[in-house]
Amino acid sequence: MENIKMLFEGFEVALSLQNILAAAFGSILGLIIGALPGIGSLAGVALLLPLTFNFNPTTGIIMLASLYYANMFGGSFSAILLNIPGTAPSVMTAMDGYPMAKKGQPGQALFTANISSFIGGLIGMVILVFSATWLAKVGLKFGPAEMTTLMLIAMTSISWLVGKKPNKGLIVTCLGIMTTTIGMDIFSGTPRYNFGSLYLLGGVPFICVTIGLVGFSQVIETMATRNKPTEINQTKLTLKGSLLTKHEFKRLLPPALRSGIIGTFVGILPGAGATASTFLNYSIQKTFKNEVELGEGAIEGVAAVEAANNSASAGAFAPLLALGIPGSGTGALLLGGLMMWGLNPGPLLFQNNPEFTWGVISSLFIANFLTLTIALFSIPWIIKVLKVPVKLMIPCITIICVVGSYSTTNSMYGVAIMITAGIIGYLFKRYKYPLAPFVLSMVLSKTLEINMRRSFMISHGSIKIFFESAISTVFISIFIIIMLVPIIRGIVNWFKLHVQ
Amino acid sequence: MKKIVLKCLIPILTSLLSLIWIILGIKVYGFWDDVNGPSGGFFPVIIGCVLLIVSVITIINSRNNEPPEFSRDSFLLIAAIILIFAGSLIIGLLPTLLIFIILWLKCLEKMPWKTTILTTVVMSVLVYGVFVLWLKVSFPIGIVFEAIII
Repeated sequence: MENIKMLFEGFEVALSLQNILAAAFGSILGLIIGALPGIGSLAGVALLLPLTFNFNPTTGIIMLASLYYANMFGGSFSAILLNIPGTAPSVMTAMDGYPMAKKGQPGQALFTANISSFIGGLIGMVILVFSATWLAKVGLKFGPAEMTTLMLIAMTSISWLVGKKPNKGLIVTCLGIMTTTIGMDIFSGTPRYNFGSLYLLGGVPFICVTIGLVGFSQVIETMATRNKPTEINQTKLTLKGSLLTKHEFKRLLPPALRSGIIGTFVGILPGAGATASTFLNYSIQKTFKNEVELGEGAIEGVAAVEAANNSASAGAFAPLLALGIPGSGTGALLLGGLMMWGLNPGPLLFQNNPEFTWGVISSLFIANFLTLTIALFSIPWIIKVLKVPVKLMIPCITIICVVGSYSTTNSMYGVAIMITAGIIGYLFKRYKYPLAPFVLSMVLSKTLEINMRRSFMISHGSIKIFFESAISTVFISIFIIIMLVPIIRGIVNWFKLHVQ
Repeated sequence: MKKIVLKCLIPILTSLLSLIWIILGIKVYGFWDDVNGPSGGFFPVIIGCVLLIVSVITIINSRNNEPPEFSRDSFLLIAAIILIFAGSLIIGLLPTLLIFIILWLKCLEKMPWKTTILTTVVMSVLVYGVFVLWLKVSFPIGIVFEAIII
């Protein structure tokens, strides 16, 4: 009850005209930045941070938090309409959102994404209110061994589940991990696999790889079919026609609710973040019965992913505010902003600055409503993009890919990485290799390496450390089962074939 | 031989890459240190070994597969983007992109002048407005303009 009382006090702070305008501005900017591939919430928050120097801390952080949150909504627009994820968490949105758009349901895909984002975000915020400090403590119980085994599960699950051939998924996963080993050794700070290049010393930029691998490769692939009329071009797009039917809403609700709850818990784990949440919840959704198969344009797939990323973004505020642990790169920037304003995030923040803390939490509710309203009403304008002929879109998307990748690194190195990743992505598509494990492993591998090395340092090289706590024992058992399932399935199939 | 390479192109490349990662990991960055435990090559070597094993299995399994077909048009875009990269070093990124979109729409896609000009103007405003004015991105101006300025 104390938390509800504090939340209402927070609303009194957040509902001032200045803070509502800040939240609205952040929401609109977040939607635009999320929809534009290659910028992302990290760059958006970084660029907006200097603008907030003249604001009071509450207004400043409300604007940045709204931008970060709305970014999760905006990322789905380009993922669904163009198959170019505007943000890393929306990579998985494209897997079902784009096929839905191709089937002539772009409006329904966007509605599903927006409503699910809203539901997921709302669940995340409610959980955040009731258990801000408690939730963060659960995440803190994860030591290196627990984090290692958790990361292993997240990586292998997507490798096995995406595509019919798990070996291809595993190859792509390993390639993604190897890409992140380029640059500096995290522990010693010495160069690693940079082959003498100063550019590679800073590592391979994730956003550029994503733009190339997912976006540009799609444009290369489209070149062959650009003169064929698509179903989307023939579809009449109206706001009324984009509304969901009662049956479609019933299909959306269970995955959105489930992913909202799971996503919040993933969001509070340090290092896991919204992207890991989308991959995990998509994998979970695969185990449930879906009316349309996942990957073929299923509402359930879009709902699970969108609810997951918004709930994780809300959940990430728990360790950020209560313990000063950022759940993502953007979280780290927000943390930097708090420190810049002289605030010390941690358990004492709730005691010393309750107006600020609860003002920020309640502003997330306002941002959720504002962003949903803005996003839904912008659908008729945004879906007009689809009426543009594909052959007109090809040079336009190519330019966005080039400019977007340049802006993330401020050098042509980013463009070179994007082009290379695009060609690799095109080869993957032609040889039917899944792309998603590459992106996932790039996100998770640093956390995996840090925790794996720490675990072995603590245990002096013994693997017993992974069986010492109940949490890691459960996780490692799940990992072993996931590893064994395709092998056993292969053996069973081989026997069936030879017995017949 | 050429057909086998085409059939197994990705696992062949990944097996070679994994060998490089393993060799460099062990020889240059080190696998294990008796005092500090896992060294810089520890994690990459493990991943390299996994990749090598899976790549070899995939090569064996892929021998009977048919190689995929590639469209000539797709390579046209790859060539175009390489030219954009080269052009940006000479005359700058934004002028190169401007020339690219006009040439692409008019010469390759045979679009009418009205569509070509309208698309070029919309894209120019979007790129300049968002990236140059708002995000303050300074794009490369190329060696030609650099020489003129100096």
